Formats: sequence, structure tokens, C-alpha cells
Amino acid sequence: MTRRLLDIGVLGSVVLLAAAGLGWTAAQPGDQPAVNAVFRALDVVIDSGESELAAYQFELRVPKGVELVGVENGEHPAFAKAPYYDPRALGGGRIIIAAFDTGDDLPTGKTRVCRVHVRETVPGARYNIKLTVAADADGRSIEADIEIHEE
Amino acid sequence: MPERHERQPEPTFPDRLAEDLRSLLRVDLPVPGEIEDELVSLAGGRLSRRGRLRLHARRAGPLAAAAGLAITAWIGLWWMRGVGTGPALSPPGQASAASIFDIDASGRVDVLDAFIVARALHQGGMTDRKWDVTGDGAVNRLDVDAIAAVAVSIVRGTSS
Repeated sequence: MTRRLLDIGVLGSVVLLAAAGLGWTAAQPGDQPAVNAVFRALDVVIDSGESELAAYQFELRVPKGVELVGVENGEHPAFAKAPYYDPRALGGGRIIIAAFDTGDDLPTGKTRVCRVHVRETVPGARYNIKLTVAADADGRSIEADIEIHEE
Repeated sequence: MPERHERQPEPTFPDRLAEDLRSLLRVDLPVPGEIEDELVSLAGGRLSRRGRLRLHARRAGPLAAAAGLAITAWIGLWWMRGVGTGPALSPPGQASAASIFDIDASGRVDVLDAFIVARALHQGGMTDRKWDVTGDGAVNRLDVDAIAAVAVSIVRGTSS
């Protein structure tokens, strides 16, 4: 009885390992079916009106069939450094991006705060973006709008 | 031309030679009864020890399988919960007001918490010892980055 249990256990482990190996092999990019993928850059623009924008944070959700592949800095010197984001978000469908600047040269009006690169495998993808923090140099919350400009 | 391998007949051993060898190697040595008994008891003890070992091995099989399952389950939970990927925090989206990263005590960790510390460092003003979230004994850029990393974490994200 015990011997049989052992045999089943060993056999199960071998099957699991084999399945994992097959799964890993199947997941190799070269084996995936060809998909018409398009790489696009999404410019994230914040309009802070007359207020100076010193800090921002937003959340971006991408639909199924779209993959986040990279994040770039913004255009204004205040946001010239790469923003903060969780690298684990790349390859997924949700990302939180944030940046701030403690200097005196801060943008007003519309400014591209960062650029997000995506890989689309479905046409007409729609993005969901939400500005969660917009603050001035004193850390006070300011009125601002956020939008995506697709290239 | 392929080489052909033919089976050779087995060499035979002359009967006479075999008999001579047997008579030469035969040893008729009487073994006293006590020694024979001692040898038998020693052999018996050794055999019974082997039996016990086999019994232990039988018991160890299911135990090893159970331990393997437990380890696999623990690794799975560890991987799913993202243990070791960041500091111990509140559940996703619910950064508590008591979080050490919630510098402005707003009830959530966001970029403003990092900004407050960064601005204080930039202006050379007072810093709070509680802002030393990395625990290295100093409030510096590492703390700013650590707070910002928590703010944008997708595992323990704080965006509302």
C-alpha cells in the first residue's frame, strides 16, 4: 500500500515536472502564434491651468489585448527624470506612475508628464486613466486634468 | 562486407580436473556449537536491524510526500502574496494611517508623502526621525525612493 502511494507520488511529481517543462517550452516567444501587434506611445498630459505642477500621480489601466511595455520621462525639465513606477506592472494591465520636482522651474498649463509604451494586439483599444494626485510646490492639492494623446 | 559474428561453443571443463580441484579446496573443519550459535545470533540481530530500517523507510515515504506538498504549498503562497517584494505594509489599496510611509497622515501612501520628505531635504530643513523608513539611521534620498516605491506599488497600491 505504502509502496503504491510512493509510486503514485513519484509518478505525479514526474508528470508535474514534465508538464511544467512543456508549459515553459510552450511559452517561448518563438512558439507563439503570430499576432498582429502594434507598438504605440501614449503621451500622458496633465493640464494644471495656472497652477504650477510639482507632483503628480495617476493610475492607468489598459484593456485586454494591450500590454504595458515601457515608461519614459516627460518633456518639461521638472519631469525629465524617469518617473516612479512598479516594474512588475510591465507586462500587465495596470500601472501607477508618479513623479515630483522640488525645484523652482515648474510647468503650468498642459505638459506631457510622461510617455507610456504599449503593445496592442486588438484594434481600437480604449484606456482608463485617473489622476490621483496633483500638487503645487507647497504640496497643496491643485485642480488639474489628465488625458492621453495617442501617437 | 559486413563482419559476421558466429557463436563459439562454450569451453568444457574436464571432469577429472574438477574433481581434483574440489578435493584440494574442501575444508572439513569442525565448528564448535557455541561459536555456531554466536554466529547465528549475530546474523539474526543484523537481519532484524535491516528489518527495522526497512520499516522506517516505509514510514518515511508518506512523510516525505507530505513534507513535499507542504513545501510546495508554502512556496505557492509565498509567491502569490509577494512576500519579500517589499516592506511589510497594509493590504492592497488600504494603506492604513498608521503606515510608516504615510508621512502626511492622510490615510494612504502616495507621491505626496515622498514629496514632503524630498522637499525637506532639498530645503535643508528639519526632518523627522520617523521619516527614516529604511532604518539606516538617516533621513535621505533612500527614504524618499522607498516611500515613492510604496506609493506606486501595484501589489500594495494605494491609489483610490
